[in-house]
Amino acid sequence: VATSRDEQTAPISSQVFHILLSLADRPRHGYGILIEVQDRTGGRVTLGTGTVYSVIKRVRSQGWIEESSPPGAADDDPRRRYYRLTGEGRRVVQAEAERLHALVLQARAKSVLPEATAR
Amino acid sequence: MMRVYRLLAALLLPPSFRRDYGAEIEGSVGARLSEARGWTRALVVSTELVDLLRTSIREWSWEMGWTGGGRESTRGERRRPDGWHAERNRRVRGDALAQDVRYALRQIRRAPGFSAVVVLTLATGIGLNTAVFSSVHALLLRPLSGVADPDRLVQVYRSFPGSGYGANSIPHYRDLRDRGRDVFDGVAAWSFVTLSLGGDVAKGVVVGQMVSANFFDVLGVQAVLGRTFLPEEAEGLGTHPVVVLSHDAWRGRFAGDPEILDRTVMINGLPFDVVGVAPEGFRGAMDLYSPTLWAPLVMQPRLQPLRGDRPDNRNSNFTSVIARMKPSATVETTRAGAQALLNGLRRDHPDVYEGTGIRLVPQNEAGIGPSYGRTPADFAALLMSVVGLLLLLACANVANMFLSRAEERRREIAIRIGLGAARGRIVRQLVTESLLVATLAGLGGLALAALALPLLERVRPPSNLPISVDLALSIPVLSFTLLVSMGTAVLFGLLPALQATRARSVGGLGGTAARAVRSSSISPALVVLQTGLAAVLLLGAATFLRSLTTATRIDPGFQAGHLLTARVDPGLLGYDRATSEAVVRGLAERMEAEPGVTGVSWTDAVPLGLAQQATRILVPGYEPGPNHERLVVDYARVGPGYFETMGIPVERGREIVATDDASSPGVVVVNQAMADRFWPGEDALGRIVGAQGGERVVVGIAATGKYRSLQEEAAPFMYIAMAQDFRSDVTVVVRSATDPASLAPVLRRRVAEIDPAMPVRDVRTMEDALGVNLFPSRVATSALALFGAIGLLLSTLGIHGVLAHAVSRQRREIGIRLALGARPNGVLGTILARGARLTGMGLVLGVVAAVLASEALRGLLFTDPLDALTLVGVPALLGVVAMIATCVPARAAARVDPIRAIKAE
Repeated sequence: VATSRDEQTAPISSQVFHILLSLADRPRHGYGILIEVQDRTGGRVTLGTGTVYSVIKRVRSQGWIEESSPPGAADDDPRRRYYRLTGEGRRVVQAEAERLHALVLQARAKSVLPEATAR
Repeated sequence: MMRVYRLLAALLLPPSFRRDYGAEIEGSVGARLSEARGWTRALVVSTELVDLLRTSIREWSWEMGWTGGGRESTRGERRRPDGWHAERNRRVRGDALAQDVRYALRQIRRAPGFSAVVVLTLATGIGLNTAVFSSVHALLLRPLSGVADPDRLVQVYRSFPGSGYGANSIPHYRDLRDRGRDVFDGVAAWSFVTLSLGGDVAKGVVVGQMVSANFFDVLGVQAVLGRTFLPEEAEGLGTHPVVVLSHDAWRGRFAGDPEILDRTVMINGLPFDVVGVAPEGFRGAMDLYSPTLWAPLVMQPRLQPLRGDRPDNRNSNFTSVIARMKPSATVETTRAGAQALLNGLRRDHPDVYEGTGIRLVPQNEAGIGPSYGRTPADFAALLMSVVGLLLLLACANVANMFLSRAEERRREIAIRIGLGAARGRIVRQLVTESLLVATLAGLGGLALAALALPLLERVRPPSNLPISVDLALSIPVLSFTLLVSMGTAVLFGLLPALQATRARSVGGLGGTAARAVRSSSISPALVVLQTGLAAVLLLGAATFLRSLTTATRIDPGFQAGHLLTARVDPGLLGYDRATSEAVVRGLAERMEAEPGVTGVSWTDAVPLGLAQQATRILVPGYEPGPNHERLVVDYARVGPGYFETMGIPVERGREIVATDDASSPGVVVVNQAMADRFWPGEDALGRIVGAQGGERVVVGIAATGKYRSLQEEAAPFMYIAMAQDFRSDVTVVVRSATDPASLAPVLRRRVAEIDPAMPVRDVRTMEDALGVNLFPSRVATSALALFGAIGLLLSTLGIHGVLAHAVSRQRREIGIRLALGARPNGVLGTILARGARLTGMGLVLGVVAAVLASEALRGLLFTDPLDALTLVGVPALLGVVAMIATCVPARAAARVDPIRAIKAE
């Protein structure tokens, strides 16, 4: 089923974004996603376990993530299922990041945000 | 905590989602919880619970296709032309349901106060029901935990004239086991034993069980570590110092030591090898208690060196027996087999078995023990009916609220009907609303019960036995709540829903014309019902309160004030008899020297304590009555000065003194009831009583008191000199001129001076100790008082609600009357009279119901069920409260402004 350009670039919820983003560097299990989001945002975003799996189910059915074998790290837990980003999922999270970035640029243009410091 | 989460997850999440992700979700939540500590834990718990609720709503609406991108669209559309209509219909119906739910949610949000009161009222009813049902289930209905096939187990008792469910002796048990191979699949014996646990760790006094070597096999229990007992550990008195630890003890006291099987524990100063650990949840043959360890029964002489129980004496009955029925047998055939066994034993030992019987109680009927008779079941039935009444009351209230609201919504419904809404659809809409409210209330009730259970677990008799009831919310309890909450929904949802739509006319639009809806016939009935129910509850509470005050005024036969009691047992430290006696005497002397102490003595059985004992006696010259009258009396061993210290009047002769020791002739003090029974019309002084292996001369006659319970009739009792028949497990009683509780630390210090290792237990005032006896009554009274108060509140709300509603409906009518010259006071009077009439009818019904129900309570009371004062006072109080509730709407009616009222519509 072809996804239209519109659908791909439609904004996704911040929960979905955070969960997809946490899978950008390596496959994780559900609990791993929860912890990664919490750590990455310094505890400002704490997802509930039910929500994490609810989103996992949804984005899996969209084909944005898929089940994967454990990445082979030391803290692997073979009893859990691991998920990784698909190509499609990567495009979605990328599109969302670009959209957010564009928003930030617009905010700067209106002097709501200071100019970016060199990065 | 995880149990609650798992339960809620199972309840709330759609099955498909649970199947795919349930295990992972639980794993993750478990991991989160195990990492959180302290208040963060509470935070995680609440976050996860709220999230679970949100997820369930999200997943269900996804499941039902209510939200965009539901089932159909994710499945990949494969729509066949001929299936189009079915598909479309399903969508429409799904949409309708979604609409109903959304609409209902909007209604709930629009009237938050109304919704909150409804949900809270119902949640209270449901929560109390769940909590009480959970307790009853845990205490009386749940099968023995941790054993294989508990329904095939039977408890075996010896019966004696006057006591239906007596303990068994070891030789008797052995015969049941060996001769009963055709009757039972296995017979095991067990007995509680208090032990002093020593060694480098885990010191303290614990309660364990001595069990026959086949105990674990008969119950079908395997050790999780090591082994249970071996067949050879059934023989050889005192030669198998081994123990099996309970799982809790291993995890707690021994910190889950994996090397536990290499360890030795010191019990009463003797080394015992740990050979195994029992599985989690296994608590022996009685669920109410959780023993720390099990030791072979053959170790009894070492575990209880100074107890009179003798493993070789067929009359020394101190063990409980549990047996497994043959797979093919029924309870009846097993009973017949057991009777045949007993007949054989009676032939071989006529002297022992004369007049005795054998009784089998199926484990699943035993409750907390058959010797408690019907009391626990009665008590449970009482509590269940009380909370049932409360739920009914709550339902009546809620039904009423819905009824009045449905009428307020008549206009809205009339408009919808006018616009072509089907009647069925509107009924469904209203039922959806009630079901939604009931579901919220069910969840609230569940939460309430989950909060109440830990509190209920703390309600326990003041006793040293390790009573631990596992009051977990279980699946049967959960189904019960769901049933109750759904039943409630139907009860209050359907009635107003049907009524609201019976208004076929579109008159609702016009306002007044729809007065054709005669719903007013239901509301008054509800008020009558509510008042009646509240009257029953309050009468019950008052009766128990009166019973309790009566009980505290019953004379126990001794001066309970200014007494301190404390239990010590030098025998637990391995002391021999002479040393043990010296320790007890030394402690008494030290206490006597304390300022304010006016007397010290000791006994092995405090009156009205849990440890009462009876013994067989011989009375030369007394002719036993017919039906094998067994000469059994309760007794206590007492130290010198006991009567003086306890304040028990010695009416004739003398009391036990220090010179009544092992070297002097045996003496006994009997109570008046005993003297009257065995030597009626004669002088009991100087008579001989054969008891506890010796002849004893009656040297004194004491006043008759209460020994086992405050309700009991005058019963024979005798006091033996402790020095002539020593037991090391004694309760020291100290009389003081001042507050006895202030002596407690002094007593502990004095004990420690004698031997720092000696444990002191049950240090408390005699008045506190008596609490054990009043415990069931106290619980019943506080429970009923609480429930009565809730009932009063609910019915007051109900009466007020119904009358306020009636007044607002009749505003116009009242306005016209006032305009035509009716006096406001007259209107006030009319409304008050109506309230009084309804309340009066309810009260009469309630009193009648209470009188009928009161007979069932007799066994739980210290007094006659109902007295005139209660019967008049409680309804009067209720009447006053009801009239106050009536006054508010009545005054509102009297202040109706005629012009406005008539113009309003």
